[in-house]
Amino acid sequence: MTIFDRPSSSELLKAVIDFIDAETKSDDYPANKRFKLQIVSNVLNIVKRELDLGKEINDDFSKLGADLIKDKDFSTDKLAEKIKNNEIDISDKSFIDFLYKLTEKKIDIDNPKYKKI
Amino acid sequence: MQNFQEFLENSLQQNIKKLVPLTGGASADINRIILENNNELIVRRSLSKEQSVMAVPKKLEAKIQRIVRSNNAPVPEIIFEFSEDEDIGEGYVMEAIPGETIPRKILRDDKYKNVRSKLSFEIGRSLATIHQTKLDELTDLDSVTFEESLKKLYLVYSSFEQPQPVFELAFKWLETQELTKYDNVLVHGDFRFGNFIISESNLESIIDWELAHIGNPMEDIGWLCVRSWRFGNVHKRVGGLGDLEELIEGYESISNIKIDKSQIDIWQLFGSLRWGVICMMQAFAHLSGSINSIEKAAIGRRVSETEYDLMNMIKHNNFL
Repeated sequence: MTIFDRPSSSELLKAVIDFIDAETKSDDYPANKRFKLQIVSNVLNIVKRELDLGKEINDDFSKLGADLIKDKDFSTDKLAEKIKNNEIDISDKSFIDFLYKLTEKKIDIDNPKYKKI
Repeated sequence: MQNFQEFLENSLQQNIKKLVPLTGGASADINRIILENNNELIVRRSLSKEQSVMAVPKKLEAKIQRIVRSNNAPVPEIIFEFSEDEDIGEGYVMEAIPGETIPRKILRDDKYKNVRSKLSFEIGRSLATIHQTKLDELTDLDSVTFEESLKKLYLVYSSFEQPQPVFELAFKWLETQELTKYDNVLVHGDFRFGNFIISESNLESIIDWELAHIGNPMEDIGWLCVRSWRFGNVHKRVGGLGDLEELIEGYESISNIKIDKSQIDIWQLFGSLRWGVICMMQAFAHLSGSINSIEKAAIGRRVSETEYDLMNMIKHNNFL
């Protein structure tokens, strides 16, 4: 449910990103400032992807994580703590698979191109 | 800047047309000096308020470069050193080597096509020369073992209080590795593209010695192989440019140190972890409010790239 009108926050971000990308591509945009503006665009893309997909990913991993560490309130902090204190078998395949999947999902938000290369 | 320029002019006994700030090391203020006669020099200095705990003092940096250069490794010549008050700081002036340092240009521009084919070999050979530096002249340089590096890195990582499961796993993985005992060498400490000056025909110079220390020779090679500086050419392990075999061939052409690839794997994994912690360090410099910077904020989200690399190395034994 949302009481807010379209464009949605994601659609607004998309409009900003498209504007910035067009600016950086135009010939009259100063080359020395282009790099910084590209970073701005990258950051906004991260925010947009997290806004679009983040909740679902977090929900999935809180369930999967709860099964893994047998604690209904899973957090990555708790998992890190368990690894640190040798409370989890780091050679266990299901643990490694879980962590791999989690890392893939983080990359999907932060920089999906990195995975494809 | 005016004071600093006057200081340099007096020291060089020449007028300076312009000082151009360069982006560079984490703890150095670097400027290109353009002299009245259009000749160029580089000045690297640290101001006392910026002294980094990780970097060697500039005076020692200059000394290392002098020694390495006298052994015929490609390093810029030091013109003079200085150690002045707070406004001027401590540093040195060195020759400006013409060439390119930007990795994407070296990897992609046509004019570097010929040099690319021999660069891995050349880099290997130059690294071997650096590693052959006699250590008795460098007793003021810290010696750091693998275990100490790991411990130090863990301290830095944990200071941010943002626990990362993948980093915890990587630290555990590294703790269990068996390291081959090599004799200590002079380690450059940041041996990668970005710190190599390349011309159309040669590896001209190796710069940025602020992280130099005494340690394991495999550290520099592992760091060079970290995927974060392959710039898209993932399958070329040596900086996105060449294969490890070519680098080893160059290295072993003048060195008796036998390179064991499984050791490179360990040091590459350590390198990815180290880069991941450095990304966190940058992001938290922004988050703590000490520097407000979009670049530093953005780099916090590159930590996941290093996690992805770490997981591929640990789960799939994939070092490419």
